Amino acid sequence: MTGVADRPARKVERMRTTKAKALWPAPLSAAIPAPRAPYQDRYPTLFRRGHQFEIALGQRLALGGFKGPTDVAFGPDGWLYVMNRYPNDGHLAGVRWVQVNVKDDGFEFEVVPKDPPGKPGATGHEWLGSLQMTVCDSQGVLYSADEHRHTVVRCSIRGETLGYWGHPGDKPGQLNGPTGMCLDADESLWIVNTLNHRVDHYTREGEWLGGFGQQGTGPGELNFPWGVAIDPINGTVVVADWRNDLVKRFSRDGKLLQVIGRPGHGEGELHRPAGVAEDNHGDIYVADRGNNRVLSFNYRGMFIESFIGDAVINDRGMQKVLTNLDMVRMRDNIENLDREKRLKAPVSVRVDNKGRVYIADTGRYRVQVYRKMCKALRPDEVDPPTLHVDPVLT
Amino acid sequence: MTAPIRERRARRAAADDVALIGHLMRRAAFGARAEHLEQLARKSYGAVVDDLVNPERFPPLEEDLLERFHSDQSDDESTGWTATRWSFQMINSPRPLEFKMALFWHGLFATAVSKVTNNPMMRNQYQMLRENGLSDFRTILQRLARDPAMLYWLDQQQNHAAAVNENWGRELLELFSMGRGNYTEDDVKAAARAFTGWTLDQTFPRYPSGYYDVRFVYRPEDHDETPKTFLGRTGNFNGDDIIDIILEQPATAHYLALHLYKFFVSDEPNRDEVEALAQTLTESRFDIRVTLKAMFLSEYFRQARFKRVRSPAEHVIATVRIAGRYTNAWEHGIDGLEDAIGRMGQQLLNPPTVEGWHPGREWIDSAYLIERVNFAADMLGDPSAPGVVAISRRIAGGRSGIEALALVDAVLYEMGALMLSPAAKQAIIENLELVGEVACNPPEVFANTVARVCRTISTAREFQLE
Amino acid sequence: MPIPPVLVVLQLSGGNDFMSTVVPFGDPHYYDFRKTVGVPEDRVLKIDDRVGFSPVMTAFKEMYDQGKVAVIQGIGYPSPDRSHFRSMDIWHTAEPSKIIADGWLGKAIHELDPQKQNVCTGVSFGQGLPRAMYFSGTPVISVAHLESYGLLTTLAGNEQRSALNAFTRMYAPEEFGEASLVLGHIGQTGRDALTGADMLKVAPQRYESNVEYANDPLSQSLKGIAQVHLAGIGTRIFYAQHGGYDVHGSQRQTQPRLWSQVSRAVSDFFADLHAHDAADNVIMMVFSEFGRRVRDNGNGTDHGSGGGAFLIGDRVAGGLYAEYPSLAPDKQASGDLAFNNDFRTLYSTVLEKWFGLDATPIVNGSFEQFEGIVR
Repeated sequence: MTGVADRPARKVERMRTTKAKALWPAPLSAAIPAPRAPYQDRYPTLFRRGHQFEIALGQRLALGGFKGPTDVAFGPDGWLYVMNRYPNDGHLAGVRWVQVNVKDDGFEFEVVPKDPPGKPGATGHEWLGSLQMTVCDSQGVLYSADEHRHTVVRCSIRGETLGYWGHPGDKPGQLNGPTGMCLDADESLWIVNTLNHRVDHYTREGEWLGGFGQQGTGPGELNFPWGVAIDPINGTVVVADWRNDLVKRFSRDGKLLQVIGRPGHGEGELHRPAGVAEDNHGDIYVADRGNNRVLSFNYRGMFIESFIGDAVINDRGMQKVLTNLDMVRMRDNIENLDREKRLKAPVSVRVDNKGRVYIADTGRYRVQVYRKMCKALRPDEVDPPTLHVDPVLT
Repeated sequence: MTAPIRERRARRAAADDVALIGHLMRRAAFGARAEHLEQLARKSYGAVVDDLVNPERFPPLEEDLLERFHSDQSDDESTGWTATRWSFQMINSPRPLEFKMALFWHGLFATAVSKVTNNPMMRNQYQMLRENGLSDFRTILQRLARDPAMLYWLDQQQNHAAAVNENWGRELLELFSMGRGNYTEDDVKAAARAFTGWTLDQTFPRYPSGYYDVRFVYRPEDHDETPKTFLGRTGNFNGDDIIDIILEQPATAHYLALHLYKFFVSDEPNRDEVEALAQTLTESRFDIRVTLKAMFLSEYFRQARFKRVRSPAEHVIATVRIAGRYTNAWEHGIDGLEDAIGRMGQQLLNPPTVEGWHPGREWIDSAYLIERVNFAADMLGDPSAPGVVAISRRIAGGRSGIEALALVDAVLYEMGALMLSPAAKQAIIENLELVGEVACNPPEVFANTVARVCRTISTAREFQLE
Repeated sequence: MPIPPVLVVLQLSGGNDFMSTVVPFGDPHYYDFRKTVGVPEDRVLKIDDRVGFSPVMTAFKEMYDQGKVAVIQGIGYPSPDRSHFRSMDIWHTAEPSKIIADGWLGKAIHELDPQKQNVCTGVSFGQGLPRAMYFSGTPVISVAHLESYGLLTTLAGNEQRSALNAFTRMYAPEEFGEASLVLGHIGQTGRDALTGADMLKVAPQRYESNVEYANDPLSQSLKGIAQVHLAGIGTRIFYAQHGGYDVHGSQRQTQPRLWSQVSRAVSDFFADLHAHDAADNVIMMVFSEFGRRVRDNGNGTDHGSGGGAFLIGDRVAGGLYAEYPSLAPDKQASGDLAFNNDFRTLYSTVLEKWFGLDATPIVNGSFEQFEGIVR
């Protein structure tokens, strides 16, 4: 059982950076191949420079604009699918997912779920409640847990409604306020049943495979958990324990392995964390929603980095401003435009296998994308163990 | 005295206590069912008043869960969401008077999002009213004069030393503190000049990234530094001096007392009672908490039952509280409440003008009355509503049946010691065909009957009053 | 003036893009400013060599060709406000310079029926009462759905009957002896509400028509208005709303969808009245709170100011009224169409020429009027 060791963490990182400076930068995708089950048994040794801001996707009140995007999913077609929060807005009515090209912020297609099979006559508004988190499998099927209707909705990336599954209830395996979800290495689904204070494991067709969790503030307990991620190295389950202001790592049968972060508003501290993700190096990203930022921790639970948002106005936004001359004038009068870069109440963070970090900047109606800058070290490049003061993963 | 008589008298006295506390809870809070009132009645009336006016004794409502389970709506940019939060607080807060006072001040200092547009500003104003609502009038006016939403609403950013805009200066005197007839046009001009330089920092444009907070700033270079004569006093006054002078005027205590009286006591003010209240305000240096406490403890307040038409917000929230709905943060549909309140003519955070809503009988117009009646009937006619279930359980108690009139009386009592004319009771009994003794079993059937009685009571004209 | 004159006001909420409704394809700047949402000239339903209707407005164009549609170009008000709420309030209260509570139609209803003899003089369709229809002390009916309008309509059968009977008795005047003024007022209002509901209830029952309205909310509202009008209960002012015009994005999809609905719904409505020989005393006014920016933003258009309105009906002298504002950059008002006629001109015309009312107190001032626009 470990907590956070904050003190020496960055010192170690910095030392490594200095030592390996000449090697910088190295293409990340070549560094570590995406793991697939069975899981590897060890994390790579890394040095990190950090993350570089890449692009902000989407523009408020524009075509392909999102309204309060809550999550993103990676389509097998190379497109990003952004979960759109508001179903009732005039020009976004019914749009649940927006297809986005990450490279150029291009928008192609809006996924508008129609009547589900077996429910003729129902419109998307009637059978969909609150969709929030989403994933996409390798077949191009989007899944999203409907927190209000206690179902898991399935929809193809071309907008074809495939139906939904799930039974509401407070027994293990039943859906109760399902929200956070992620794909396991075999593409089975882990879903957080927030109102049951549980994390449950299902096949994509909805067969219950297991799970764990009970309400409480104790070490092994959960209190309205929100996001979930599966460690790509060893398959452990990382949960954003929302109301306990912590992230917790469990074995797949529910044994607490690690507590990450601590409650608060300071460095490396969490306040009402929402989404959580883990990359192929074992780095954990937490949407620290209550603090309007994203934090990253290494696999040992040491705080590494804080993302507060770097979005600058993009082409779409610039066009928007230029057609509104009063806005141009107002912007000219502002001494410091930094405020518009910042994250506001981010709900989700996801990583792709190219080391990109996608933050659903929910309160600012955009997605901010960062690229990881790092290098995996060979055994002979690694510092002697005496320098390592990280708490050991039990 | 025989034992049964003593017992009956004790019961009647207990019922009187509950009725009085029911009255207090409707006015100083948002109503409560008898179940809750009986618990409160274990304390003295004075102790209950004391708790209400000292909300700090109770923990604040945890609201994070509301936001968590309405993440599809919770958005700072949405006025509907701010109003929904307010609804949730009015229903559930252990410190109800804070939210009641926010409603009072919002009505008095009516500011509307229709012009302000920027909802974070509206939310901050609401927050300010709620945090300071029980302090003193000086503090409140000082905060108000620095509130960005209010300043923008009344064009204060256009009030310059070189070009005076009187809007804020005028409304401060006319609507927020003294009332017409107690100052001259010259006083308005002097007040406006004293507030020159009280403005907003540059508004952050909403394109492309949405709304940002706006802050109050004082720009001394834009302040009129020449002497002003205001209400007979001359000096190089600044805004806070104006507020201080306003608070010295007898008209101010009277104006505020009248508004407090109409909000808490009766639609038809009694001169002497308002005067007494004004006296309390003056003596307490406009301490709102002290004044409210004195008012709640007064004889006239205790007697003033069902003397007010309740506002749409009070009507909706009181009805929801009887029905026991939306007590947990994940019950869906709470966002419909602010909408319902709006359809009854009181769109929260968006009053029609700076004069605010016209309370009292103007709340009752045929379109609004239909909304009021239908809302309450739907809410209370639902036999599965937790409050209705609780009412029917308590009435059934251990008994097998209850006589029709006693049933109607019992439901009225359970709904918070409400009153209804004998004729209305008779109308309910006859139209619901409650004949003789109504069986309390099976419970589901009895709950249905109780729901029908609740529903019919909620359509009565007395239910529009509190 | 036909007896009795009836006005239907149709509000397009969100700020209708007038430039995509009546397209100024002949303006040399049009295609420069409307790179994304511009309508190709060959698709415009031409009125003349300068302007024409959006391609989806075929039914509207037909009515225009029959001389029943007056297009009021370049409508607006001084010091435009780009907030939806505020701008709508200005249109509702006919007062751009002050914030006031009373609506212009509410005042007109009061003038048309000062004794409050008919609670159905003003009927609004839609969720909630628009401020335009509000005037303190004047009863107005607000209908969300005609079929479910009234008191206790979520109940059915016996349940509803007994609840309504109880209501009627509890609101009867004699039961209370009017001891309390406010209880008396509530009672009177409750009885008014019952009366209004009873009057409106017969409308769908009496109605028969060969016209098949579409299923969208606007068509259903106009169908409801036709039903109430045909029931002959004396309604003089109707109000209907249609939303979704705030096309910051997806304008190329949204705007045509909305206007094909409006075009068909309005045309069906008048066809229905014609079929019942009841169109002669009805005109319809269509407005929106503002127009949109001259330059599109790449996907849609943002809030602007100057726009357009329509007056429709057999008694309307169709054609183009006022000038279409120039799109030349130096003629624009901060990137918007510069309005050239005050909306209160149209209001005053309708109030005086149609209803024979004194417009000045209702629109808070004296304005020029369109001559000969209604017969």
